[in-house]
Amino acid sequence: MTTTLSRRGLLSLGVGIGAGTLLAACGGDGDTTAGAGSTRIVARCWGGVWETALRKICPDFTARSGVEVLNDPGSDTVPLLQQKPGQYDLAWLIGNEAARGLTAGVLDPVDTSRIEKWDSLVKRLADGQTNGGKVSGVPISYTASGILYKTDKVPFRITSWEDLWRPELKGQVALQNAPSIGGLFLVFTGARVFGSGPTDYEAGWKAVERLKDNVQFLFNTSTDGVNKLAAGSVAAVVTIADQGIPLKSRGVETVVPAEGSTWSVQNITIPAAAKNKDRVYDFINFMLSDETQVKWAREGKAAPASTTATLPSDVTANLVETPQIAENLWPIDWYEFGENIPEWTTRWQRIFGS
Amino acid sequence: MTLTAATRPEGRAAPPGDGSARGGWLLSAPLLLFTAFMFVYPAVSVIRTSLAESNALDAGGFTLRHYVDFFSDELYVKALTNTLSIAVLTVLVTGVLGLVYAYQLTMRPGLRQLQLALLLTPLLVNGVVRIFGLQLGLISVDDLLGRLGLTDSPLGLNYSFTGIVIALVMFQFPFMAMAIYASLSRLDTSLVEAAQTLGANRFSVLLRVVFPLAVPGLVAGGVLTFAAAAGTFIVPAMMGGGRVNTVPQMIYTSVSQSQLWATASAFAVILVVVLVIPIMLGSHFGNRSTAGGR
Repeated sequence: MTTTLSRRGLLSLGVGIGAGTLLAACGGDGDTTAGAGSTRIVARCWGGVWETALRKICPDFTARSGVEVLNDPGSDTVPLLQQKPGQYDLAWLIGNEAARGLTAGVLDPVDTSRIEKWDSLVKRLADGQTNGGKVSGVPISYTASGILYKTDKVPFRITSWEDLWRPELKGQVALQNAPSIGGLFLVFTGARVFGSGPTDYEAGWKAVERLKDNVQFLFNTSTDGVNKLAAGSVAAVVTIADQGIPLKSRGVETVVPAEGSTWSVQNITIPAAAKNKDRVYDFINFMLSDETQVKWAREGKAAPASTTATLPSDVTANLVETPQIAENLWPIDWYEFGENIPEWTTRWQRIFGS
Repeated sequence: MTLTAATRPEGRAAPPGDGSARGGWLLSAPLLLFTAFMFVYPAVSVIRTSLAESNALDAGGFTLRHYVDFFSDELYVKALTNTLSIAVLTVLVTGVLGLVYAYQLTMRPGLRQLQLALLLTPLLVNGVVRIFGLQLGLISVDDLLGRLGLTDSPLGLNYSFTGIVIALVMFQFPFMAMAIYASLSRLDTSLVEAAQTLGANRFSVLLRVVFPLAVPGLVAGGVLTFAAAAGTFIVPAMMGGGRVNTVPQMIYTSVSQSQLWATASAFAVILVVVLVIPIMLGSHFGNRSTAGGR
């Protein structure tokens, strides 16, 4: 009798633990804002320098509005928004991701009448997120693409995108790997430099194929290319131009060619299933205020999207994006680019992979 | 009346289908629930998605198109070939190195704790950091060989197929060595001495005496290493430099930027099926070898 009872007790405990585990697991994707009302918004952001910058800036928003911002850093945000609707109130996304998110119905179109500084944004940035009157995200900052090179390893002065194709750089160039946009930008560059115009993508692809001999490796994290450049194992890297400034003392020259450049943009987007959209608009307006734009530029090392923000010299010293460079940014249709990325990635892998 | 252990006549087993069998099922219920939730549900979900007609997350319908697309495209078949080649080479290299390491650890057990600690300590270091360290090390090797005049140009070990295998051997060697050591630790060293007394040289001893005893460990370590090497994303992504496509990379790129859910799911199912076959074969032959040894 004792045996039977103790077994039953054990079974009850086991079933209880199992059921508890299952219920807890099932409830794992629950509403993280539940119970918090509108005093907290949950943001999906990038890690690294971006998260660090947000950690310094968000308390100012909380002090002003009483709304806490909970930042959840990570990548692959659009798939996450698809899988867990309602989890986030806002999401930081680059241009093509925002465009794809809006097209897929994961994001709400932005009501630009609620963005106080919408008309003061760098026009190229705002235009890139707009399609058929719908806006996929609000640009907060941007970074221009450039060529970073070791002056002791490159036997000439790089001034133009065309220089990347010179035979002296055989096996000496590092590019960002697809599907990240930094490498695929070379199609745009090839189209402009060697083709008949910005949309002559076939000429761009032929140029990428010709560039293959000069490419030593493709990197998946933006810091990887810069680290190898600093270590001297590669002579030139195409990446975010601002990353080259701290390396000047190590013999790295940063060039944003005068003919113009591609660029990346940091947008705030609003998930369709977000629960505190009014607070998100407040946060966007806070991020675009002149004071916050300066702070964001300082901490995030990215140029402000608002043209009304005046940066102090200590901030401009760490950014290459002068007004002239902003003027020369090439127009990018993020919607078209976003649609092309799956096919372009496969084509890229066929060229560089084995 | 329920027949309990206390009232059951000595020597009589409980009849099938009575309370103890039911109790056994109930006892295993938490584990079954856990397995169902953590493995069966995701597996069914991935298989169902792989058969969907479109790449939307909630797409329905039925098609084998994504599987056909995989095997009709040279890019993907090559990625599968690369994946399997990398895994097989990693198993072979770690198997040989692990066997030698475990054998010397068995025969010369002095400072065994220190040796084992040195073997396992690298596992405490973050994998990405270890890859960065390896990359810098390989650059230094090229520099050294160049300065000594032994090579005209860099070997190009970074960002290559070879580099991926080197990194995977570095990652998987401790697991393989420990698995083989677990088998060889029961080795009766007098067998080795007897073989040497009868005229066997070192290679013969290793091949005819030690190797058969190490087979269970080799199989266990081989299965672990094969699965880990074929399924890894980060090592080919960092060490391949974009020049060596593998199936896990294809899965990642299909989902991360393109949200091609059905395509990525089909790739994942293919990878699992292709991995299961050699793993089952390895386990089967390992069991036969073990049974034969008894």
